[in-house]
Amino acid sequence: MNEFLTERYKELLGKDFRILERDMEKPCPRYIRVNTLRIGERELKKRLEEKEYVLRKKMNNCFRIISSRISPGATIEHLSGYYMVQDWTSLLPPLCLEPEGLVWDMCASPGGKTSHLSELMRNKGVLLATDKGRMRALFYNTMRMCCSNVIIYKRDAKSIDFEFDKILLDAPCTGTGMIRKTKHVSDISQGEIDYLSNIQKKLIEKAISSLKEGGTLVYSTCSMEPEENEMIVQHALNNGMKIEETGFGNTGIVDPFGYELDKDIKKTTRIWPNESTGFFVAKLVKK
Amino acid sequence: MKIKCEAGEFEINEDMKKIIDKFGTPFAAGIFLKQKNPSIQEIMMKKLDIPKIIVNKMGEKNFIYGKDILNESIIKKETDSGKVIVCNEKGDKLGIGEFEEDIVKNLADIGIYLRKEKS
Ligand SMILES: C[S@@+](CC[C@H](N)C(=O)[O-])C[C@H]1O[C@@H](n2cnc3c(N)ncnc32)[C@H](O)[C@@H]1O
Repeated sequence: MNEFLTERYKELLGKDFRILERDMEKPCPRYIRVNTLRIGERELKKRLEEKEYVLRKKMNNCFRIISSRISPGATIEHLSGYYMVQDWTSLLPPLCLEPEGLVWDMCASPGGKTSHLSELMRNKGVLLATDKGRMRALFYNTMRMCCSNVIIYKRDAKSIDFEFDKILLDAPCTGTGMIRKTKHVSDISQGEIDYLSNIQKKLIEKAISSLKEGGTLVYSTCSMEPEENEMIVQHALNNGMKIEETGFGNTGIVDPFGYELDKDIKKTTRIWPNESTGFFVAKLVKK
Repeated sequence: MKIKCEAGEFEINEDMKKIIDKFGTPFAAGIFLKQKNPSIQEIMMKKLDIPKIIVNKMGEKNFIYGKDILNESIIKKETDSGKVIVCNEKGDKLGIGEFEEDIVKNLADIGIYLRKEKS
């Protein structure tokens, strides 16, 4: 962690910063999400255990890999679309959205959450998945996971003009929640945070204008920076949205770096990278 | 109904068509279709009227590496000619092949997902 991030996290976390610092040294565990369109949780566990996997249940349809002999990307079960290698924190945005009807995944590639949304929809309704790039990865992931209700477009999300029942905005971000996995986040500067924060504001404005009245928007990032999270949610609250509890704990920060945000922003969920990848999730409804 | 997308031909439903009519040709949509043979996605998702063969561990390994299957790797077969869905001993569908004399030619297999990721 560079000095810049260290100082920020010390201020945001207070004495809990020590826990983060301690966990930073530990290896980052891997998780898999069971694709219930293809197989049951128990059956998959049994099959992987036969291949000398040691798994521990993390949450419904999600296991932590304690140890494995074969890489989880190279098993028959993976190629058959029985699971996706995905951090448990990445499962929260689709679960929080409770997707149904006409759903838009604005920033979809490489498709971890797209395939999860499709699974939760049991391939019913329509799921529009857009991204500026990585089309092949998105296509192959949804195909492997047997998703049949997905339409994929290579587009800037800002160019889409339509009304949706539910929207997931898993926004491009600095990725500072991945700090235990990727070294590059150590170079993050205020300039980059501000740059992405501006992009996120424009994307969330697009999401708001594309939602039907009463429609739900889930906003998520794998960043730990309030400018990319709580402050973007504040922008949404200023633009006709109200907040709902995510169901995963009210851990949002309402007074980052001396700013005073709407108290309701507490209802967002912020997971620090102690146990996995750090993540932020907010659930918003159009008034 | 069938439509042409950037990634090939696909099968979509009425609801999807409404969106596509508005936005134009997508990269991909619905279920992927191959030209002459069923795609892997179709094999997985549809009840197709194609007989099965079951192969042993060796056959499974060769097949998902894109290779053909030798007769000695076949444990059970519902036919010995034409197109077949290739399964392993657990019943997982590994892809589609076609009998050519003593071997089953690999037409498409799930190893594509691994090979694509690497390429
Ligand atoms: C955090 S990643 C998304 C991960 C994905 N949701 C998943 O679960 O696999 C952010 C994505 O936003 C895409 N992106 C950035 N700007 C965009 C824009 N204006 N429109 C659409 N996608 C955009 C990037 O290409 C990148 O793939």
